[in-house]
Amino acid sequence: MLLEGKVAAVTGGGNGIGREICKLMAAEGARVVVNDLGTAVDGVGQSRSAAEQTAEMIKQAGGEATPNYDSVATPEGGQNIIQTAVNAYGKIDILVHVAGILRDRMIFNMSIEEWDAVINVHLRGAFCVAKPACVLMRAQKSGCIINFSSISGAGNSGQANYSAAKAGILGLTRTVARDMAKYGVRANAIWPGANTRMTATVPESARQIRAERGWEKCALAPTERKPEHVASVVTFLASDMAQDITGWTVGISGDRLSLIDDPKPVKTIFCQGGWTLEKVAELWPASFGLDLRHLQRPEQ
Amino acid sequence: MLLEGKVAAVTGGGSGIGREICKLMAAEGAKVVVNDLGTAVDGVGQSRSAADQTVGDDQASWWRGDAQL
Repeated sequence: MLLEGKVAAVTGGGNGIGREICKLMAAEGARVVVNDLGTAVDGVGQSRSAAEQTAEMIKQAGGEATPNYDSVATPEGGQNIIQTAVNAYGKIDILVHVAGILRDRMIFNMSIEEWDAVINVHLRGAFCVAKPACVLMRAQKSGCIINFSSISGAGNSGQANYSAAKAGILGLTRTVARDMAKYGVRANAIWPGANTRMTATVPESARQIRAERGWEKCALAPTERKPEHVASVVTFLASDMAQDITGWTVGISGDRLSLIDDPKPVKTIFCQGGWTLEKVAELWPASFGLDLRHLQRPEQ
Repeated sequence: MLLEGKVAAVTGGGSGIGREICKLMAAEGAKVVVNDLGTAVDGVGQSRSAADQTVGDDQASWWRGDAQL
């Protein structure tokens, strides 16, 4: 029982990875607020049944859970999710932000509505729930925030909105880790891989394009990528065993578990007195080269 | 002249790094749209003078940018 006495709130807990996190955390002794607006993968519609079903599954297994149906994308919704934990269980120890939607489109076809909808749920949502959680965690001098990013944050064709949100979540998480370190509060990000209703929306043509750019490794992974595998890692990170793990990005996909470093220079050159255009044009070709199409998928 | 015949748009071209990009691109032959809302660093306020000054500073640029996006 790794989470005995803990109170957790999980956004997007009504399906897929979020649901498995709720179930595993509850099985490990946590009392869980299951937040889900109950939309389709594209963010359309609303239904209470997603969060209710997860909460019901937890209760039937002997655990404690409370459903919540607020949108993460507003400050009021974020506040209410955290307040639901306080009202039901007296505190908040663990916040996991999984909620997200997809509206894939090439950049030249993407509408501002598609951009805003995706950024609002993933990135604005991450702030709207983390802010009120951090106010309480700062006062109680403990807590753990786990935000869902994605390897798409490193760039993925057709996902300008999603990849920008997921990269933004990395910056947010790294800064929350630094802002909250002296209060004993941790923050980490996840790059998940799992077969869910969200990943099922990726069309075959997109899979082929991505395979040409080096995405085929996932498709060839020998172990099925289950949401349960992601939940295992998230639950471990939320436990006191991980009390000195903060500021990291962790990749989990089926049989593959990775510690991912922050972006850093791969090569650096210096020009005394500072770089002029003439010096850049003179020294770049020999030092960095001019054939630099950086379009591959990073190693997870 | 590395940018002869090119047309560039630079957001935030009214001061700092953006201004120097505009000036150097123009010096290298580009025609430049200098965009700047003219706010303070924290985004408060608006003024046309930031973008106007970059355009005025830069004798090589004859394309006058609109200060408002």
